[in-house]
Amino acid sequence: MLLSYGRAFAALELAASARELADSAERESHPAGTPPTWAASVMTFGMCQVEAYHSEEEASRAIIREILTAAAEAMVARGRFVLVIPGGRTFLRPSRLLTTRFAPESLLHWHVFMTDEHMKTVDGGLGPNAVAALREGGWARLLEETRMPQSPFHIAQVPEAGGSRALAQAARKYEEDYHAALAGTAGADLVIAGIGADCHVASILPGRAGWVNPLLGETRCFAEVGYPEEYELPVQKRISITFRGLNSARRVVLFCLGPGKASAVEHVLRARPNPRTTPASFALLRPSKLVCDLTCVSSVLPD
Amino acid sequence: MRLVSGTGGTSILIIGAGSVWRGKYRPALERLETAAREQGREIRVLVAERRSSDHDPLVSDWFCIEDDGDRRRLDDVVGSVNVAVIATWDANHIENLRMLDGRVPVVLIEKPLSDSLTEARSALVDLDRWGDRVRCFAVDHYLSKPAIRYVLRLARSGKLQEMVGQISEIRISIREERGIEPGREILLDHGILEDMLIHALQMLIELLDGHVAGELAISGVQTASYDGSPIRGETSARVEMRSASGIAVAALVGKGQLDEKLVEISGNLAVLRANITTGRVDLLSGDGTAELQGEVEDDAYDVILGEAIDVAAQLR
Repeated sequence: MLLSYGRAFAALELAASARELADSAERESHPAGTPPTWAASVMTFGMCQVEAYHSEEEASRAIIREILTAAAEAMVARGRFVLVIPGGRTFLRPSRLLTTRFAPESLLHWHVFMTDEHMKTVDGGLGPNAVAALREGGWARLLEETRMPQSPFHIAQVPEAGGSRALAQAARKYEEDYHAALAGTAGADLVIAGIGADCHVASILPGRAGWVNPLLGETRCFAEVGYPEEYELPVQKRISITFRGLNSARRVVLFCLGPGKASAVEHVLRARPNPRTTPASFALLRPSKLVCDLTCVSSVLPD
Repeated sequence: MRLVSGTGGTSILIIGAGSVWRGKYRPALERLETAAREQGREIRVLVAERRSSDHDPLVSDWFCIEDDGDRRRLDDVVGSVNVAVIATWDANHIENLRMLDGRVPVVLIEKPLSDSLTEARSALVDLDRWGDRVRCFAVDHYLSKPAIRYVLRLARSGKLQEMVGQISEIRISIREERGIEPGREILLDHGILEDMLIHALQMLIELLDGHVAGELAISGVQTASYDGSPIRGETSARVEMRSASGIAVAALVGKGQLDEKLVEISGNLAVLRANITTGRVDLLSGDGTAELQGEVEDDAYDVILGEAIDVAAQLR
């Protein structure tokens, strides 16, 4: 369609008005690095703000915004940024965005930890979550490209053998690394955690039949845990962030994608918060955010 | 294809041999050339680019370079041209329009008209001076994309309102995965993607034209500047407006983000969603999703050039 010359002026004039507005003080209220996005729905449950996006891609980008915002604040305030990312596969998409699009020099003062790791080595001393993040999440390529003197990506070195004692040693080492990164501050700048189908968060699974998950009362931020046989998990022994680790963070964002999580998300948001039976419901008891796609919250969307 | 010899057909001159010519006009002209030949017509295409002058290597001039390497000064060929397309850097559009000096009857200016509103206004003086000899058009290729053509047809025939009911909201999203390229940061002086924003605004204006009297009033602008973004090449802007009749309209434009080019028109009966990339148009209502138009190959530039050739033929 050919556009008469005069008619094209309307758009030019509107764009000029938008430019003037963008130059005004309003622009100052939007920190750099937080471009606008369109959340399809924003709701509040307890102290948790829920942002649902049209697609998994949109939600993944929204979580990147959360990281960038927290990083910007932390770098200004403390000159370092401590981030804890989920160990599961859901976070691989945001990880790829982060590792392919982020200016590597900006990572020099970052410390990235994972919420949990399984005691099942698949590559030397590396557990399956670390291997997935390195290979599929793009961290290995990023670290290789940037050749940083010290890797910002902290990996829990799970033992190849040695049972519970060796696992406890690995957890203690991870805890030491974490506190070294915190440099005297109480907790991470940002913890991102997933929600499991049974409402677990990180590797903090619901208690069963009188068994109370020790990670609830643990005083460390990262600790080892061995789940009883009746849980029938692929890997019983793990290292996980604890409730203390979650609650001491400056900012906590839960992240989940897909209709498979809808039932768990509904239960977490609707049920009375009880971290013993519904660990992820801790998010309703402290200022937090849930970032997800619309299919995750289909059952709690307002009519 | 640089020159299709022959007489009696339409001569098209492309000013600027850069990416707009290579990526947009050349493929469309090759298709048009084939179609024209099948109909016994001929399209003659000349591409002009800046080269050093014959007399002084330090001075550049516009030349049409032919396949055998021969070159002719633009001034020597411009008198025989029916349609000129100015496809140069935005800031040079008006200068190149003046260079044609009213000698080409149909002129298309590739988006946007200029990077300066003041300069664009001053160009109107030249057009007035040339009077009926010159028909000048701005090219906003989004308006010729199959999905947008379809929606505009619905809007102008009144069928859009029949389908969606009373329109309450229009949202346009133009976002590209490709980020701002190094050296192009000048486009982002104000944190707004001027080029993409103008496309979005032009589409809004055209869509609203059939339904709403009055102008759009901007109610909010949110931007993210390139310089401030730690994501390489990323920038975006969101502009919210309201029409005189209360329709909420919003444009979200961005580079270095996900690929998404959508127009959504929401009414009290249904939502019409046009996917600019694929050409698909859907109507979403309580009864489900109805496909109004399936995926269509992008022929925006074929349509633009076809219309320009028709206008030129009418002026002969």
